[in-house]
Amino acid sequence: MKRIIPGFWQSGFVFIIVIGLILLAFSGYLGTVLNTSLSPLIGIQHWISSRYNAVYEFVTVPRDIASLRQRNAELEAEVAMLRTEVIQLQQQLAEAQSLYALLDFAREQPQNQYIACAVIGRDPSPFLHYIIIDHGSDDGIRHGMPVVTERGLVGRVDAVIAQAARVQLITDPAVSVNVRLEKAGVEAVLSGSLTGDLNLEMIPQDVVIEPGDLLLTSGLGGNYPSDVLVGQVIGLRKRENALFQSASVQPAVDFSGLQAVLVIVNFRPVDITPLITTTAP
Amino acid sequence: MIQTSIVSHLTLLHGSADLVMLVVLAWLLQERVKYGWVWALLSGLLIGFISALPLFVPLLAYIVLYALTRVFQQRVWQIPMVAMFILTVIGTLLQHFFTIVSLQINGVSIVFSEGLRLVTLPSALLNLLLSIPVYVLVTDIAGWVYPEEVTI
Repeated sequence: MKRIIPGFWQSGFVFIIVIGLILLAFSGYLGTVLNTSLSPLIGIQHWISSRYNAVYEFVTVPRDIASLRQRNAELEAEVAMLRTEVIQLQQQLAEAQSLYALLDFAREQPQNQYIACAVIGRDPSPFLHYIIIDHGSDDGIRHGMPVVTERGLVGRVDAVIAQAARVQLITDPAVSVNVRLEKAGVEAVLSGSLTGDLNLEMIPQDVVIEPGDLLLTSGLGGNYPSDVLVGQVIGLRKRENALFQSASVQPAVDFSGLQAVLVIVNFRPVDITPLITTTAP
Repeated sequence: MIQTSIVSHLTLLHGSADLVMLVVLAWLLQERVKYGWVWALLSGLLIGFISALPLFVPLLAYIVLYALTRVFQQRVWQIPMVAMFILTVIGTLLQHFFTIVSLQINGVSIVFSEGLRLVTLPSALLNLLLSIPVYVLVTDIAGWVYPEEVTI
């Protein structure tokens, strides 16, 4: 009996202490004491954890790097392949857009018959502005036929073989095209140059021209059909003592990126040379 | 084909490289090449056929180039690369000179100084840049076509 009582008081004392500590902890009075007493433990825990992680990484990371490198190489190869596919698709899209534009243009001009041709080369001489197309006399293309795109006049067929033809661009220094200023209704002569710039000449002094005025073929001379867009005026050169004024022209067609063209096959050029009177000696 | 479809698009100002001329020059400068004049003549005819230039222009230019190559082979035979450089410049100037003259005879107004500044000099520079790889490549091909004789 004597031995039971001190045990009872001992247990009750411990119980009361524990309950008190729990109540103090719940009520928040022990926070400071706990923080102070636990912070060294947390530091020790952090140190042990960081050392363990370092050892674990040392053991496992080399294998991961190898697998990551392999995966990276695979992904890079895939990206390169997809990029190639994207470029191919973009090229096909650009080609398709170009052909659709040509098709729309041909539909809008039912009076003309066209043959669509791909540009397969350029003249080797940098002094000349010619392109080579992939259709020739076997397809009905003849010398002198006009060549256009959906944007405007390109040039005319200069030489033909069975399966290809050479087209002289309007930017060639040897070319002169009879044109009409749409707004002013006046005829003038457009000529190419070594640099590919177009110059409008023989414009009467009294005609008012402004930048942006459109140029159409006049049909005079019989080399080109009339009313085909050629370009627009971008600059004017006028001198008081000159007989005519001249202008710089921006061509409607981008000759540097020419990929496909249309040859007007139902237009027959007229050679008017015998009709031009020459002065007798 | 490479000349008309690719090289003609690669321009500097308004000049472009002449791959055919470079290949012909490099081929003519090879010691073991026989009948070089045939290649020069064929190249001139081919260019004359493709280009809108009068046939005699490239033909004449390539024949003169062949003659110059023979002279240079005798004079600077020990340094063929130098001969290649010099002939590249001379060949470009010669071809462009013939072209301008023929165009002017045909009534095309080309200012000589403008042609020199915008076309000939950039073309000569491009040709000089291309002459090194072309010469190396053609030398390898010549070595493969005409293997060196070994005396046993």
